Amino acid sequence: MTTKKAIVKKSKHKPQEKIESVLGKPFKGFFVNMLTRDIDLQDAILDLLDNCVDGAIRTRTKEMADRDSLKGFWAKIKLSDKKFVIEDNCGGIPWKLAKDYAFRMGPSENVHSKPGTIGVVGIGMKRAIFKMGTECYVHSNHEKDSFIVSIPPEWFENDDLWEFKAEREDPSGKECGTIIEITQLNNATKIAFKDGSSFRASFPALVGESYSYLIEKGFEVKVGKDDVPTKSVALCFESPHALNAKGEQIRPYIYSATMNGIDVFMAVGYRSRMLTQAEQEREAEATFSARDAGWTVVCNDRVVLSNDRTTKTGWGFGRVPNFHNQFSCIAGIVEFSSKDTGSLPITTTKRGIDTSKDIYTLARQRMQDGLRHFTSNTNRWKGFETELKGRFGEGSFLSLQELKDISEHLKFTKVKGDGVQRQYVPDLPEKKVLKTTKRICFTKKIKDIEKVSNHLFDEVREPNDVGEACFNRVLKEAKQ
Amino acid sequence: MNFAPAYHLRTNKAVERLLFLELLHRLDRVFGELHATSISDYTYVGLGGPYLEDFNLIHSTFGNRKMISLELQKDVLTRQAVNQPCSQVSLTNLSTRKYVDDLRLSRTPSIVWLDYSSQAWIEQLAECFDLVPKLAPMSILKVTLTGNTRTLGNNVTQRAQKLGEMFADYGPFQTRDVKRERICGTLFSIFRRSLAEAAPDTQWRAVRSLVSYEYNDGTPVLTITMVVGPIRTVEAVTEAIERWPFSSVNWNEPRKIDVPPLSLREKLAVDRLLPDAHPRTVINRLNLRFADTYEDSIAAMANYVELYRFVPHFVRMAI
Repeated sequence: MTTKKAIVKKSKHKPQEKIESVLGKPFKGFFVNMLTRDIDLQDAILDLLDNCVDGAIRTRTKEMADRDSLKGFWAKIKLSDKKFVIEDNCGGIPWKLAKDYAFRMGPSENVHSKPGTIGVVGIGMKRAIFKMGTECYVHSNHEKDSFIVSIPPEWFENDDLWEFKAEREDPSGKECGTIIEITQLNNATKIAFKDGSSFRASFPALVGESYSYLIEKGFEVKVGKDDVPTKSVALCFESPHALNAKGEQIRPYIYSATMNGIDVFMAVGYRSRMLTQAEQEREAEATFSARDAGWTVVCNDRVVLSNDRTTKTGWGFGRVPNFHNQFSCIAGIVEFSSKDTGSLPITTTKRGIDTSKDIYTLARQRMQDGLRHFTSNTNRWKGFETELKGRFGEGSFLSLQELKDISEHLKFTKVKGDGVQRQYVPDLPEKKVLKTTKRICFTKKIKDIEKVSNHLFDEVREPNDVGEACFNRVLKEAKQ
Repeated sequence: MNFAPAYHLRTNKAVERLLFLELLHRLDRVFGELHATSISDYTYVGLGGPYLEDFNLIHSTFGNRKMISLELQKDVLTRQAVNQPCSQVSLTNLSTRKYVDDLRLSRTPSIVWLDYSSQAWIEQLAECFDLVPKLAPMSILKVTLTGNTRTLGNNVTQRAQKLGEMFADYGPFQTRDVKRERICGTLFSIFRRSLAEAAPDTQWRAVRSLVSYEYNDGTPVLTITMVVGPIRTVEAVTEAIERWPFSSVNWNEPRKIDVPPLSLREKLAVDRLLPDAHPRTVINRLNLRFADTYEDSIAAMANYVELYRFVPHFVRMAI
């Protein structure tokens, strides 16, 4: 009884508040932090560039789309510790898209992206802006309307403010396009964008690497005043003008497939001549030329993984050995294209692959088949690498597009399985190792090797040359 | 035997050395204001060769007490013992690789000058990048690379291809990139990009160039002087040095040193007109020619006018 009384008494002193609902909306700081913590600054900027490309794909003429050309479209990035600016001529943002979708967080089920674009989750622009700073202006000059959307610093502080102010404005230039200015940069971004930073040194090459195939299609990207340096995979292809010539040829393994609306094109082969044993040993010490080896994965023309040499791309598991210097001459490229971007094996940061997708599992099996073909071939040439040097010197090195073009005329064989799959397995040159030869290998002091080299050649040469010359000299004496 | 030309036969290198000394003077003031430290407290590490000229200059200017010479050739070591400027120079029979490998993280900042004379660029860059994380904050790293491209092949096509094989990550290279007049710029770009990847900026450690020069006394040479330390302090140092007219901070392109060799009479005559006279005026008034064309002569004189304070003159002396 006393307990009941006490409860009643207590409730009399409490103000009466309606108990209807509890707050579930995110704190702005937490939301922004969660959204940006897993993306690097460079990837955030690449997301903005992806939007430019998507704009170009939306805007280009049918004739350009048929030729898959992006000629005439450009994006310019300006970095400084005061301001970040990205400007393009890719058509601008249609007002309806801006109003209903472009500035909202996440993809909308009602808005369908143009086939072949690379935007995946509808978060790229916002995430990039939040990653870099707390004040932003987005100017859009679209053929139908021109407007500016402002994201002020107060937006980040007010948990109830979820709208961005938009106003009509006069177009800033003749061409339709978008300008994004981020003015209140956070400290980490300021440091990265300052003159002389390591970010400033490495960023243009990263853009070039990720955009090589889009740049090949005519899209121009400038960081500051300079075009970004491009880099694309090129594989040795002997006798490209005599495709049906019989006999052993240094050519890539090529595979193509169409499954569930996704086109796959893959080529793996020699990107350079095989390194000699001595060169391989030197490369193990220090190298600035390893990045060309390994696998490059492209999704809808955007490089999402560059020169990978891990299990992710089939190295070091199953029947494929771990990557090491003997295989630095091998490179591969696999391209996935689909009108439905969501079906591609691509992560939300677009800098990695989603290995859980069935299409990638299937493709990786073929990537491993191709790899095995070449790793085994290098094994058979071990110790005789220089014998093939001349053939690499005379062979052509073909880009992805050239390989795709040439593959139309190659004799492919069908691969059993889902969808349409076919492959071209090259007949690579084989070293006929005679049982009458054996490899000699021994270790001597560097000083002594140099002394003998100076004695024999009047200069310091490779230990291999010195050893061979010594042997030949003694052999000659022995024969006499 | 392989005798490198002595300093007094390499005017541009001598100018560069004096510019380095002036840079150290300025850094001494900046470090004093920022950290109350002095260049004289720094450990100097260098490849002084038989004459130990740089050790001599630094010791006589700043009085550094700890100096380490790295020298592989035993015969050169014997000459260093005679030429050492003071008892504080530790003459070691160490390679740069061994020095870098054995170096422990120290609290005492250093000035390390890796004055490479061969073209083993891959190994040299790797050494520099291994050294950077071991240097104490606010250390100075100076790297000199020689741009003799003959070792790359017989013609420019072969040379560009070979360079592309060596530094494929930063290529491809065109034939113009390996020509004598361009190779230093190419090496500079390779150095900058590879350093950015090997030692990306962190709050605690960043590397910025203070000065970069290229010159040619028979072989193209690139020299880059950098400061290593916490990013805020490094930026404060670069801002202070940027005001010096001979700086090229934050990885700006290297400046050219290409002063014409003048006789003592010519030098005295030209110097009397400076610093006010325009290079054209000097050329016209003294009727001097250093090249086939009038304009090239003016260009050569312009470089002298800019740097005349640092141009030494060597004379024969009987002791």
